[in-house]
Formats: sequence, C-alpha cells, structure tokens
Amino acid sequence: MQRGKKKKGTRVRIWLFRLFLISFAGFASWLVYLDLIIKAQFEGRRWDLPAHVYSAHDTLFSGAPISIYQLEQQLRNLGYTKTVSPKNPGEYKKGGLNIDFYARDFHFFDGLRSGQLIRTEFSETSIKAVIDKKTGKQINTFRLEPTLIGGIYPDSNEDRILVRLAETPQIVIKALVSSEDRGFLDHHGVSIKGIARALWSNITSTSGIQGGSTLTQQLIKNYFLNSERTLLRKIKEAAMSILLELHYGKNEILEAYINEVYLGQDGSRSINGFGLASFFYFSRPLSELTVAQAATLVALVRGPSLYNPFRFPARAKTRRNLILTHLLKSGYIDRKVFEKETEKPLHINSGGKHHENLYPAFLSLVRQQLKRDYRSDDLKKEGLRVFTTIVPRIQTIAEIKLKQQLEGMEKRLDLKRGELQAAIVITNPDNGEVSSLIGDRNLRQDAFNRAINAFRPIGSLIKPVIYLTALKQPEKFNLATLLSDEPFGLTDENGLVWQPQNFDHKSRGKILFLKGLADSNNIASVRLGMQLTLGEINETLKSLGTKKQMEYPSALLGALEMSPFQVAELYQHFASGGFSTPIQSVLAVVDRKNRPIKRYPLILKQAVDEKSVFQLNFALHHATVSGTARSIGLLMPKIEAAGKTGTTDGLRDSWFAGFTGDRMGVVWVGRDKNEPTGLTGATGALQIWIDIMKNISRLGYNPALPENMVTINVENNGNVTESNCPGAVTIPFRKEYIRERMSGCTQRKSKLLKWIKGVFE
Amino acid sequence: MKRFSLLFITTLIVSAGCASPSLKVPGTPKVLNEGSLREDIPAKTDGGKKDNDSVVAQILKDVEKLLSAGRPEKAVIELENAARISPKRADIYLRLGEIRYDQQLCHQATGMARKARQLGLTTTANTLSANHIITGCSGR
Repeated sequence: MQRGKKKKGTRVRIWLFRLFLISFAGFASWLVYLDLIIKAQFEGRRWDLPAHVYSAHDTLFSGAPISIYQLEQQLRNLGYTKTVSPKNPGEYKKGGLNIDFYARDFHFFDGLRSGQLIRTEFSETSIKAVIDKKTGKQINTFRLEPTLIGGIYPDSNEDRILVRLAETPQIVIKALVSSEDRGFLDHHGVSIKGIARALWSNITSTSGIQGGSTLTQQLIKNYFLNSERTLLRKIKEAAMSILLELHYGKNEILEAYINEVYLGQDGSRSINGFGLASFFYFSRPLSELTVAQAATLVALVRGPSLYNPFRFPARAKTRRNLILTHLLKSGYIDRKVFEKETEKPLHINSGGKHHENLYPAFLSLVRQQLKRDYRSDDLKKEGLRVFTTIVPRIQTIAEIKLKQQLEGMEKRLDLKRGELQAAIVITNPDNGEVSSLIGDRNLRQDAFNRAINAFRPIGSLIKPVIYLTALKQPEKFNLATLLSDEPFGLTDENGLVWQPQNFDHKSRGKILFLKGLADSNNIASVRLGMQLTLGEINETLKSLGTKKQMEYPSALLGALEMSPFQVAELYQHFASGGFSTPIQSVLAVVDRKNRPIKRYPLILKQAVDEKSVFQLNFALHHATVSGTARSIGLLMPKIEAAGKTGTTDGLRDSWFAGFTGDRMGVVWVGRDKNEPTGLTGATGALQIWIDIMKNISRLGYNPALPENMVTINVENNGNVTESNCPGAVTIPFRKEYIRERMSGCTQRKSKLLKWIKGVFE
Repeated sequence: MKRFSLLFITTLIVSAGCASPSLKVPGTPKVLNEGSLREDIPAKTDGGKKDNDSVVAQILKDVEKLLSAGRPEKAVIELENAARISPKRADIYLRLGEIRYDQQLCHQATGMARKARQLGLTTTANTLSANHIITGCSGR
C-alpha cells in the first residue's frame, strides 16, 4: 500500500515537472518572440519620419530690398527672442536702424551655414550693410535660415524632428529623469523601488498621481504596445523592458524616448518627441530652451492634454513648477535658479502652430512635383528635407490683399461674403520659381486647390497666342498691320452661324494690330485667327509648352479651359522674353543626414524668337497704358508692366495674367457654382493683381530693344508719321520689314480740312 | 471776311512749311529713342542691370575660386543666387552657360548663352563666348 502511495507521488511530481518544463518552454518561446520584435523594430530606422518642407531663404546683402521691420518680423517667425544683447543663437536686438542677431547653425541643401553674430544696418527701405560682429568686416551676402512651412506626414500623422542625445540639453534629461524615473541609471528596465515608491506616494500624497513605470517601460508602451490597462499588457511591457535593456544601452534608450514620447496634438498631426515639441510650443530648437521651458515640456509627458499649456495654462504652470521642484530636490538646480524659473510665465508661442502646414495650396503643388521623382513612402517616412521657392513675405502680402479685395468686391456687388473664390500664382519671370500660390480664399483649407485643379475657360487670355503666331510671320504681320474689325459670321457643319461680337458691340472698320490685342478686340482677333488657321496657332501653343489645343473657332475667344497654374506656365514664356523655364516649387531635396539627393537647377530654353515676343510684349504693355488693363498705368505708375485681361461669357470668370521686370502673376476670380460674378477681368482679377504687385515688385518691365529693331511713329491708319502727330503710337519694327511711306499727319490734316470746310459753309 | 483772311494767312504759312528744308524726305522713317517704351517716363537705361553691382561682382569672384577648387556645382548654385539678386545681368547667365558648356551639358548651356545675349552683353569677348557656346552646341 505504501509502495502504491509512493508510486502515485512520483507520478504527480513527474507530471508537475513536465508541466513546469512545458510552461517554461512556452514562456521562453514567448520571450524569444518578444526579443525578435524588439530587435527587428528597434534596430536601424526606428520611426517613420515625415519630410520637412522649407520656404525660400532671405539673402541679406547691401542693397537688399528688405526693411528693418520685415527682417525683425522674419526673425520672430523663426523663433528668435528679443534681448538686450544677443549672446546665444536665436537671439536678436533692435536699436535705431540696426538689428543685431545671433544666427543659428543651419544645414542648407548645399552645406552647413554656421551660426554667427551679425549686424544689419538699414536705410528706410533696404539694407545698407551686413557686418560680421566678431571681425567687424562687411559680409557680401548672408543667408538667413528659411522658415519651416510644413511637412509630408506618414499615414500615422505623427510628426517629429529627430534629435540626438548629444544635442539634447542636459536640463531636459535631468528634468525627465528626476520627475519620471529617478533610478533610471540603476535599474534594468523595471524598478521595484519605483513601483513601491509610486504606490506609497499615491496613498499618502495629494500632489498628483505618480506612475511606477520607468522611462524604459514608457518607451515600450509608446513604441510597441498600447495604453490598455490590463495585467497581460503590463507583464508584456515589463518583459520587453528588461529585454530592451539587455540589448541596448541607457543612452540609446533615452535617445529613443526623447524622440518617441507623445507631447501634444495639432489638429490631425500628433506632436512626437522633444525636438518637435520645442518648436511647436516655443518656436525654437531644443538647444535654446530655458530651464522653465524645458520643465514645461517634461510636464507634458504625464498628460499632454491634461497639461496643455494653451488650454490649461494655470494647470500647466503648476505642473511645470512641480518638475522644477524635482530638479531642485535632485540637486540639479540651486534655489536661486529655482526661484527665478518658477516666477516666469509660460512664454508659449502664441501662434501655437509653428509647424502647421502654413500654405496648403503651395504644399500640394510641392507634393505633386515631388511625386514625379519620389515614391510616396519615401516622402512620408524617410525624413527628407525639402527646400522650396515660396517667399513667405510675398505670400503674406498676396493673402492680405486678396482678402481685402474680395471683401470689397462682394460688398460693391451686393454678394454674400464668401461667394467669390480666387486663385493666384506668382512666379519669378527669369527662373520660374513660384513665390506665392493661393488656391482658396480660405487660406488654410486643404480641400480644393483652384490654382492647380480648377479648369476654367480663359477668355481673352488666349489672344496673345494668336497675335504671337502672326508676329512669327514678319513678312505678313507687324504691330502696325491693319486688321479688319468688320462683323462677320462663321457657319459650322450643322448650319449654325457664330457671329463674334466686340465687348461694346461696336465695330471700328480697320484697326491697328497693336490695338487689336491691347483693346482685346474680339472680331479682329477671330478674323486674324481664322486667317492664320487653328493648326498654326496650335503649333504656337505647343511651342509654349501647353498640351491644350484649339478645336473650334470659339477657342479663339478663349473657349478653352485651363487652370491658373497652366496659364502661368503659358505666360511665363512672355514674361521671360521667349524662354521656356519650368515653373517649379522645389529647389532641392536632402536626406535626414543632410546629404544631397536631388537639386533642380535653372534650365532655360528659347521657345520663341526674341523679336516676335518683344513685339507681343509691347502690345501687352500698351494694354496697360491705354488698353483694357490701363488701370495699371493709373494705379501703379512707377512700375511698368505688361499683361492681358480675360473675361468669359456672362462675366463668370475674371482673369488677369501679367508681369513686371521681376514678377509674373496670374489671378482668377469666379464662383465655384459657375454663376456670373458681375466682374470683368479689369474690374476683378486685375485689381487684385495691381494691389499685390505694387507691394512686391521693384523692377519695371523695360527690356532693351533687340538688335535690328527700331521704333517708329504710326497713325491709326497704319501709316508712318511724325512724332508730334496726335494719336500716333510709337511702335517697334524689325528693320528689314519697315514700311517706307511717310504720309504726314492725317489727324492734323483732317482737323484743318474740317476748319476750312467750316469757312465755306 | 475775317475767316477768309485767316485762311489766306494759314495757306501762306503751310506753303512756307512745305518748302522748308527741315521736312523729312518721304521714305526715311524717323527713328526714336531705341531704349524706351514710354517717352514720358525716363527709362531705366540698363533695365536694372546695374543694381547690386558690387555684390554680384564679389559673387562672380567667389565663383572663380570655386571653379579653381573643382567645385562647379557649388559655383552654379552661387550664380543662381546671383541671378536672383540681379536678374537682368547678362554676365551671370553667360558664366552659367560657360560652366554648363564645359560640363558638356549643351541643352542647358545654349539656353543660358541665348539669355545672356538677349539681356545684352557689353564686351566683344563675352559676345564671342556666347556665340561660341551656341554654335559649338549646335554642332554637338
């Protein structure tokens, strides 16, 4: 019997042992599995990093058309702090007509520009001198860092700026360790002491709930797991923490934590890591934070919503001061610093949205252009840095003037506010760089970008293409050629008759070629187009880089749909003097380590001969003097321009496309439902164009007369005449095609004849 | 009577005018100021070419140093920056054309040389250089 009992006991022990072995094997396998996950995801690239997109930079030089106010504003946009005497990067001082600022180090796409102390001296409207304060020597040019204007985010919408541990200020690390995990350097992932301390503190103290998780555990939770409060999740978290500490050193773990931790929300974009949080809350890099600011960020770790400094400033300040208390108790700061820092206000960036997509319409153009060269995943995950062409100063002026003008127009036309929509494209005529792009009057909307996606009939904007086609045949056409303005009809294959009409329904018999375009005459333009043939005009369109083609005669009056961006691509050829240069929004792309990936250099190709385009532009300039765009001559008399108005049937679309010496702009105004606006090109889009251009353009359109061209006076009847003949216009001609007959002044003769007649009547 | 007298006097004056040796011979067009589009406003005779002269001059010197150091792409970036500062300076585009020509990038070189010519090259040497690029590239 006893032997039987012994045998049973042995069997039970054997089974228990087997069970133990199986459980152990299961547990070991589970640990191996967790270990594999950690190694696979923690090695190498650890995060999907968004591409960060920068504006164009300002170059400071003697003579640069930047005022002292504009530079100060730009420094503030870049997060520079005003001080009595700038001693650290990111500080500036303004005094009299000088600004001293300590520039930060910045990696441009072509290399590092080291930070230094700079003095800029100003006259009323421009920079007089740029001086290196250390040496006292004048600097030829100095590049100010560009503004970070947004990003291309991963599907998770997580945004972050990676910082290395070495770049992280010690005060941030100390604040983190002293408040979140005092035993960080001693434990191996999990701290029994920490758990016990937290339990005791939560039972006895009223100063807030303390967690027992180590920084390692928090990292594991954020990086691999979720916030589920279950026992299994906690066990997994503990196991993975220990495994992580087995494979990686404290520095690596801390660095990962600093870049991973969730610190706020900005719409759909989550703010992750101290690097980005520093810009988001304080508009400056982590290295420039004060002790109080560092403590504010650490305060967010426990609850970015709960301690949101925008929404709950008092609570955020209390929590910040608690962090400062931890720093004091841990001996990382002394009482003097503690007292000084606890008194400080939060000093949160009042805009609160430093890295929000400031210019969604422009960013969508950037994305579109980048997609040609990069996969979507690379754009969203590789942490690329994209340098673009947008000039924030010009964009801001365009936005302000657009808003003012649209509201004024709606009031005058008795329209509801918001009825009118608009799109604007502004470029540099010599290099095609987009300085400004607006796709919606609601500027921060990212829904429908009218600048690139709204295809509307362009009306008379097409006429320069017709006239250019003619001017390319100098043996037949010049600016003094007489065109017929007699009404006529065109019969289509169904027997329907189309009779183009002038805007005022009047006919003028014969008119100068110059005036046909400058006055936007419809009948003469259609007659000219039919004489040239649609086929020839389509060839011109092709040479101007557009795929749009005319299929019917009505296209001669602009029954042809294009987006404002496509119109800008067309008019870029005129503004540049006949050169084709791609309109571009991106200058260069580098990787996260600032190694160059691609640059988009200036490329020019002559698309139209110089003389033809010179004459065309002369007519477009004439439009601004006495044609449909004569408001320019009245409202912007100091800056010469050239351009074309466009109005569609029923006044549904109001267009203007024009240029000065240093800016080319296209403006469209209309209604999304395609209803009449009550605006012509001249009363609508042109007014917005003028209001913007007179604030951003400094160089008038004034090209030199090409070789073998001369200027001649011509009367309205096309005859060459004297300079003082009333009504005569001065027109450029190709020398080899000059008309030689000189007729005296018909105008003067006809007045004299009238007088004589009066004598005998 | 008064009107008739006036008519007679006017006829005499007009006849005198017609006989004046200062009347232009028919067939000879009067050539005006070749540089101006609007006579009532003094034209910028250089169309902005002289703006920021000294700044650009220094950049061009720096460009030569970069080329000597074997850094043509950096030199191109500096020239593009110079073109933003002074967009109507023909010599900037010419230098870009010359660099691209040396790099055997004819499609870029030709455009730059033509742009330089259009903006107006002021020395014979520069004109010859631009012409050389254009003809050289057309042969390639």
